[in-house]
Amino acid sequence: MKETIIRKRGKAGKTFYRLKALFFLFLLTVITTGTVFPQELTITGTVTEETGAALPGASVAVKGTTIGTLTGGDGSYSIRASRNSVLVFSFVGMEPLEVPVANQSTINVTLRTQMVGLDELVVIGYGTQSRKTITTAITQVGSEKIEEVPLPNVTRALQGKISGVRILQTTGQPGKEASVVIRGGSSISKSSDPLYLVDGFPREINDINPRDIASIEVLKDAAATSIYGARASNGVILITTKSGEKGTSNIDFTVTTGFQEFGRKIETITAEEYLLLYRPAIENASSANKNYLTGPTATGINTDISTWTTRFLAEGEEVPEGWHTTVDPVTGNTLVFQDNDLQEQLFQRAMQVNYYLSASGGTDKITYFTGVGYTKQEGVAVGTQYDRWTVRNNIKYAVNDKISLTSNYDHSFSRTNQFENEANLFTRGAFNAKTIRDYFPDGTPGWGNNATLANPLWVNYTRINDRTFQRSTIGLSGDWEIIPNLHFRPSGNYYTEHYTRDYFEKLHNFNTQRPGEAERDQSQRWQYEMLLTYDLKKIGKHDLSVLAGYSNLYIEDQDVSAEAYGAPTDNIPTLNVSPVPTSAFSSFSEERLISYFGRLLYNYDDKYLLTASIRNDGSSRFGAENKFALFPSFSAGWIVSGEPFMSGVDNLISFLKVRATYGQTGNNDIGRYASQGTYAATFPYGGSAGIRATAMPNLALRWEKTTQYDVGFDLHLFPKENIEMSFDYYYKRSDDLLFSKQLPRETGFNSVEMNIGSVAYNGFEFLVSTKNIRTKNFSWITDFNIAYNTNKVLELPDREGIDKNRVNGIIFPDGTGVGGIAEGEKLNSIIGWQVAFLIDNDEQASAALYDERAAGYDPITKKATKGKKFPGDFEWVENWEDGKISDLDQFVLGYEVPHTTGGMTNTFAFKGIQLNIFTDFAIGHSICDMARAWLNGVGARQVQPTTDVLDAWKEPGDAARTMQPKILFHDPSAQQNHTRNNSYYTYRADFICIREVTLGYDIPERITSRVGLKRVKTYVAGNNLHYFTKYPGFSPEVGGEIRHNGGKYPTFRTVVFGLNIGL
Amino acid sequence: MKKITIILVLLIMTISYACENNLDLAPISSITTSSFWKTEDDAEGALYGMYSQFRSTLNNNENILYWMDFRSGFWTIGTSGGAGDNEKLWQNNMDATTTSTNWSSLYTLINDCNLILKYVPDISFSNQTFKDEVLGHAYFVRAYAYFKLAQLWGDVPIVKEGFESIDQELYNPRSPVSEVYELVKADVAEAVAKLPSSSPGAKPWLASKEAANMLKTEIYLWLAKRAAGGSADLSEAKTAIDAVLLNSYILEANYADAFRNDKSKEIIFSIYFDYAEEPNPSGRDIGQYGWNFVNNINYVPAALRDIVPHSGSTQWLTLSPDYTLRFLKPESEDQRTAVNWQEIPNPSGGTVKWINKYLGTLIEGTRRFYDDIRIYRQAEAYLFKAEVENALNNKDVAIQNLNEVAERAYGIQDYYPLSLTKDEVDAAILEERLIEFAAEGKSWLDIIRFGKAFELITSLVGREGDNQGNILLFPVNQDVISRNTKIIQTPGY
Repeated sequence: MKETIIRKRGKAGKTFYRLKALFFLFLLTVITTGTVFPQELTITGTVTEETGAALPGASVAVKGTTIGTLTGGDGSYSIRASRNSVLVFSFVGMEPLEVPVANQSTINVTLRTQMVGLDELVVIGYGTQSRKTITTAITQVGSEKIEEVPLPNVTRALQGKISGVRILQTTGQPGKEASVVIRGGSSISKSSDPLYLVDGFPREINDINPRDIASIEVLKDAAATSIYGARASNGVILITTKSGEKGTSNIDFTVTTGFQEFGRKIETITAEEYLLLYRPAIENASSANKNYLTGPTATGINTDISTWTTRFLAEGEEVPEGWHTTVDPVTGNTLVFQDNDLQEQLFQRAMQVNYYLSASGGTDKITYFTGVGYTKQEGVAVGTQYDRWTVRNNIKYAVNDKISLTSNYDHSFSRTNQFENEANLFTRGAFNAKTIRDYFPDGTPGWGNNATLANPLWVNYTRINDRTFQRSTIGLSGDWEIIPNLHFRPSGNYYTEHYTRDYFEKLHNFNTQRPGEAERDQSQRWQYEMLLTYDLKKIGKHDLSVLAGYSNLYIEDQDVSAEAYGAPTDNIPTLNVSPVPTSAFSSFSEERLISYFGRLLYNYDDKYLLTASIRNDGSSRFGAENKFALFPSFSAGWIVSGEPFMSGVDNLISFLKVRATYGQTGNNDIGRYASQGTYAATFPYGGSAGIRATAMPNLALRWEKTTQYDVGFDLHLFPKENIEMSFDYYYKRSDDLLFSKQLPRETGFNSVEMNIGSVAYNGFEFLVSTKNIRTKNFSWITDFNIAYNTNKVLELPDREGIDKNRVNGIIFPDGTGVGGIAEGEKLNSIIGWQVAFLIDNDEQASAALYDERAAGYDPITKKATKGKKFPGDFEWVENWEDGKISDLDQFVLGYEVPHTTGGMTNTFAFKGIQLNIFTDFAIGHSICDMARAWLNGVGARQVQPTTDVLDAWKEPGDAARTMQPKILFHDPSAQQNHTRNNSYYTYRADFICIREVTLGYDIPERITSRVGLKRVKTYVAGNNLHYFTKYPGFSPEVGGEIRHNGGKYPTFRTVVFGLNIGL
Repeated sequence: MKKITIILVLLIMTISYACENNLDLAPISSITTSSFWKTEDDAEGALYGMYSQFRSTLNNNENILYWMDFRSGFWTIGTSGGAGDNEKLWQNNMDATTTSTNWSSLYTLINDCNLILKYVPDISFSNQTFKDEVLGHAYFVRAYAYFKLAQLWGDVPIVKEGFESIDQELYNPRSPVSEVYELVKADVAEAVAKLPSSSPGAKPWLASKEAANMLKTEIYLWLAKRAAGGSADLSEAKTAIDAVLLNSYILEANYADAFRNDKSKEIIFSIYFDYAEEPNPSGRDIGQYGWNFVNNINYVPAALRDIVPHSGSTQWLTLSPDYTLRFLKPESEDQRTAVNWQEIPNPSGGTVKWINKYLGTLIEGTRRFYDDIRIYRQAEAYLFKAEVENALNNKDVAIQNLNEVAERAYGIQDYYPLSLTKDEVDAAILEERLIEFAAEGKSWLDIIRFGKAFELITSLVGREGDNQGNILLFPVNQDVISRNTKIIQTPGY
C-alpha cells in the first residue's frame, strides 16, 4: 500500500530514450576523431623510480600521436614508433620526461618525483600562470579531488578542501548546491556568493557534472580577483572543463551506485509518553480548551475518520493490531492509539545512480573532449528526487599554425521533485504528534493537524511539485597569433536557462479546488570578449607578459506564470482543465555590464615577481553618475630560495616564496532597478489594476568597494619528505556598503538601498601537506588546512543619540544597546534572553523580577497578575537595569558564523589500494534552536515534543536536577519560556565531520590488459558519514537562521560503490 | 606592425558595432519613480493601489480586530491555538512588543495618499470631475488613517509630503493630537466636497460623499465627546449624518442579507475582497479576517459538517462568554443573534461554536473568505443620527432613529419607548451598536466614545489611573521607536 502511495511519477521510459540519444551523439564524436598510424620500429625498455623500483602503470606515448601504452608490473614496456619521433614518459606525481627515439631500440628511463608541481599551470583570470611565479592567493583543486566524491554537485565536493572557504550544506534536497563563502564574504547584508565562471563565462553553478571538470581555481585575494572587478568582492571560482590532450586517446566509463540515508534524527517522546504527559496538562490548564481532551485531537478522543487515532478502548474490544494502549491518567479508562514517528516514515534510505562516459584525445590538428552523464538521486525524504542528464563537448582545432579555434557546447537537463514549503514540513509537519493515523482505509495518509502543520507524507500524496532546468552554453573562441607571441583572442558565449515549475494539489480535505500553478522562466546571457596578449618570453632575465581586454555581458530574464483552480479531476495536473484563473503574470528585466581591463605580469630572473592589473567596470544597475568604477591591483613576490645565499640550506628549504598583494573589487548585488525606485502594478482593487510605490529611489547608489591586502608565503621543506606549507594573512575592508537601511515606519517604506558604512574582515589561512611515508609499496600523505576569519564593523551612518550608531538590534534608553550592527562589534550575533536559573519554589517566584511579557495567569486563583512568575519558569538576567525583565534585557548569545574552519585529508596507498579519509571542522558558532523550543513548548499545536520534556520541572526541588522548564499546555501565563530566543536553547554548533572516506582498488594492468582495458578501478566512497557535535538538531551546518537546520531539508549521509573503466 | 594596426582597427570596430554599449536600461516590466505620475491612467492606478493598501492595512494581521475590537474583552481563543499576544489585548495588559502596537501599515497607507495629493493636482485630466474624485478618495483615506491613529495612539507624527528621497526629513516626532485632529477635519471636509454622491448597491467599495459624511460624523462625534468639541462639533456631525440619510440606502429586512450580499443597498462603504486580488501564497484559504471564525475541519464531527461552517484553517478566535452572555439575546427575540454567533452541542462532548458573520463562500467544497469588510452600513447611519440627536438633547428624534434599527432586529415597532431618559437612550444606543456590529471592529472605540470603558470592560474596572492615565491609548511598538528615536513612548508604557 505504502509503496504505491509514495511513488512519484515514473520517468523511466523517457530516461532511456534520452540516454540512447546521448550515447549516439557520443559515438559520433568518437568515430569522427579517427587515428592514423605512421611507419615505425619497436622500442622496449623499463621505467623506474628514483629509488630504483620499477614503475608499473606509467604512460609511454609517442609525442604528437595517439599511440601510447602503459608499463607492466615490472616497469617494462614495448611500443612501436617512427625513428625520428619522441617518446613521452609520464606518471601521476612524476615529472614527465621526453626522449627522442633517434634509432634506439631500447630506452630505459628514470622518472623523478615531481617537485611539488611548481611548474604546474594554474588558471588565473584570462590566462594561466605557473604555480611558481604566482603572487596571489589562489587555491587549485584538481579533478582527482572532485571525481570520487559521491555527490553530483560541484560545491559539495569542495567542502573543507580549500582553506578560508566555508562551504555549507544547508539543505539535503537532492541536486541543491551548497553555499560558498570565501574569507567570510565582504558585505554586511548583500550576497556573499562568489562569482562562478565556467571556462571564463558567468553561469549558474548548478547542474554542472563534476566529472566534466579538469580543475577548479578559487581566487581569494583581491589581487587575483580584481581582474573581474565589479562582481569579485566575494572571490571568484574559476571552473575549467576537461579538454583532450594531443597524442592520446582515452575512453573512460564510470558507474556508481549507492544509497543515501537520513543522518541525524531529532529524538522525540513516544506516543504513550505524550498522552501521559499532556492529557493531565490539559486537564490542569484551566484556560485551555477541553476539546483537546474530548474532541478529535492528538490527545483527545477520535473516530475512524479522524486524522488522529487516540480513543478509548470500547467495551469488549480487542486492542487493534499494531496499536498501543495505556491507562488514561485523567479518566482511568484504557486509551488505544497508534505510535507513528513521521521522521521514521518520511525519511527513507534512498538510492542514487550515476553513469558517466567520456572520450578525449587529440592529434596535432585537433583535440577533443566529450562527456555524457546521467545521475539519478532519490531524496532521503520520501517523494523528493533529482535527475540530471549532462553532455559536454569541447573541441579545439588548429586552422593553421597561426589560428586556432575552440568550440564548447554543454547542455544539462535536470528534474527536481521537491516539497514546496520545506520549513513548514521539516520543522513542523514532520513532528505531528505520533498518535497520527498512518493510513486511512482508502490508502491516504493521516493528514496532520491543519493545512500549515500537515503530515509531509500526506503533502507528498496530495501535491505535485516538479521543477526542471535546461541549461546550455555555446561558446566559440579564436586565437590568432598575429606576430610571434602576440595573440588576439576574441570569444563569444551564449547561455540559456529554461526553468519550469508545475504545481498541483489533488482534491483533499483542506482544499477541494485543486489549485495549480505553472511557471516558465527563461534567462539568457550573451558575453563578448576580446583579449590581446603579448608574452615577451625571456629576454635575458626579463619575463614580461601583458594583456588588454574588453568584455560585454548582457543578461535578460523573462518570466511567465499562471495560477488557476477548479479542475474536475486529480488526473490532469495541468492548468488547461482548471477553469478559474487566479493569476497571470509575465515580466521582463535586463542588465548589462561593460568592462575594459589590462594586466601586466613581470618577473626578473625567476626571483622577483610583479603583477599589476586594472579593470574599469560599468553596470546598468547604478545611477547615471555612478555607473563606472575602476578596480586596480598590485602584487609582488620574491622567491627567496632562488637567491644564492639560500643555496647552503637547500636540503632544508627547497622553495620559499614570499608575497604581498593589494587590490580593489566591487559588489553590485542590488536589484536591477533598485537605484531608480519602483512602483509596482501588483495591487489590484475592485477589479481594477492598482499601482503603489514599493521602493524608494536612491540615484546616488554606487558600487560597494572592497580593498584587500594579503601577505603570505609558500614554503617547501626537506626535499625528500616534501613538506609543503603555505600561509596567508589578509585584511579587507569594504566601504560604501550596499545596505538596505531601515527607514522610520512613518515613511511608509521598510528600507532603502544605500551605500553606508564600512566593515573589515581579517584572518589567516594555513595549509600543510606532508608525505609521511613513501616506500615502494606504501605511501601516506596528509593534507591539513585551517583558516580563521573575523570581522568588525568600522563605520555606520550617524544616528543621533545612538551609541556606536547601532542599527537593528536592541537599543537601550541611554542610546547603548545590544545586537544588530554596531560600530566596533562583530557581525552575525544571535541575541536573546539569558536564563539565570529555573525558578524552583514560590519564594523564588515571588522574588523574581517583574517580567513585562508575562501575563502571569495563575491556574489556581484564575487571576492574571501581569509580570508574575511561577515555579518551573525561567528567571531571566537583567541587562538594562530598570528592575524588570523587558525586551531590552537581551544579550549576545553567540555568533552564527564560525571563526575557524578547516579540514584534514589522509591518503594511504598500498600497491593498488588507496584509502582516503577526509574530515573537516568548524568552530566558534552557535545555533539558537527555536524550532526545538517550539516543539517542547507548544503542546497545543498537536506536535510531538523532543525527549527534553521528559526531564521537565514538575515540583519544587526538581531544579536541582534539571533546567528544562515545566510543561505547559498553551501558555496562558505567557511566560514564554519556549518562545523567546534564549540561552537555554542556544547550542554551541562546533563540529568535526567525517566528510569523506574513499577506498579504491586499481586492478593491476596485467589483468586488465588481458581483456583489453587500460584501467579498471573499483571504489567505495562515503560522504557526510558522521558529525561529532553537541548540537542535537539535524545538522550543525546552518546558514544563519534561527531554528534547526534553518527549516531546510535535513542533510544526509551517502555511500556509493563505483567502477571506473578506461580503454 | 601593419597586422597590429589591422587588428586594432578590427577590434575597435567590433566593440563599437557588434556590441550594444548602452548602460541606461529602463525597466520594462516595472515602473520607476521618474516614469510615474505622468498621466490620468497613472493617477487611476495609484488610486486603486491606495485602496489595495487600505484593505491590507485593515485586514492583514487582523488589524481591524486588534485595533478596534479586542480590547473590549469580548474575544477568546477558538477551538485550537493559544492566546499568545491576544491575551494582552483582551486583558488590557499591553506593552511595546504586543502585536498590533505597530502603526507602520497606517503610515504606508498615508504615504500612498500623500503621493496622490502631491502629484495628481499637476496631472492634466480629460475629465476634471474625475481628477477631483481621485483627490477626494485620497483625502478620505488619509482622514480615516489619521483619525484611527489619533484615536488609538493620541499624539502621532504628522507627515503630509509623501516620501521619495532620502534627502527629505525622514525622522518626525509625535505631534499633539489636537494638530492631528485639525488635519483630519480638513481632510474629511475636502473628501466630502470632492467625492461624488453614490448610488446604493453600485460600488460600495469606493468611497462616496456619503461615506465621507459617515466618517465626518464619526470624527465630530468623537471630537464632541472625547475632545471637548461641544455643540459646534455636534452640529457638524448633524449636518454630515443628515446628508447621508438623504440618500436611498436601506436596512435589509433580513439582517443576514447585509452580510451575505457584497452589493447590499445597506452598505455605505466597504472594503473589497476577491480571490483574484488576494490569493494567498501559502495556499491557505485565507482572505478576509473572517477565516479566523470558522472551525477547522478536524474539529467538526462528521455528523455536523453539513451544518457547521469549516475550513482547512484553524479557528483562532471566537466571542468570549463575557460578550455572548451579556449581549446576545435568544434568537427568537433578536434576528441578529443567529448571524453573530452559533453554538451547538458536539456529539463527542462539549459544543461547537463559531461567529456566523463573514463566513465566506463555499466554492466547490472549499471555503473562500472573500466577503467585503463592512465599514459603514445604513444601520450605523441611524445609530449615528440617534447618537448625535441625543447629544444635542433631541431625545425623541434619537429614539426614533434608534428604533429603526431595533425594529429590524426584534421585529417590534417602537421597541424603545419615548419615556427613556437621555442617559438610558445613550446606553441603549451603545448596546445596540455592540450587538449590531459584533465582530465588525467597532466595539473598543464605541465604548470609549460613550465614556463607558471603565464600567463595561471587565478588565478595565478600576484602572482609570493605570499607565499614567493612558491605559486607553496604545503603546508604540519597540520597532517604531528603534527606527526613529524621535518617537517618545506613550507615557505610562
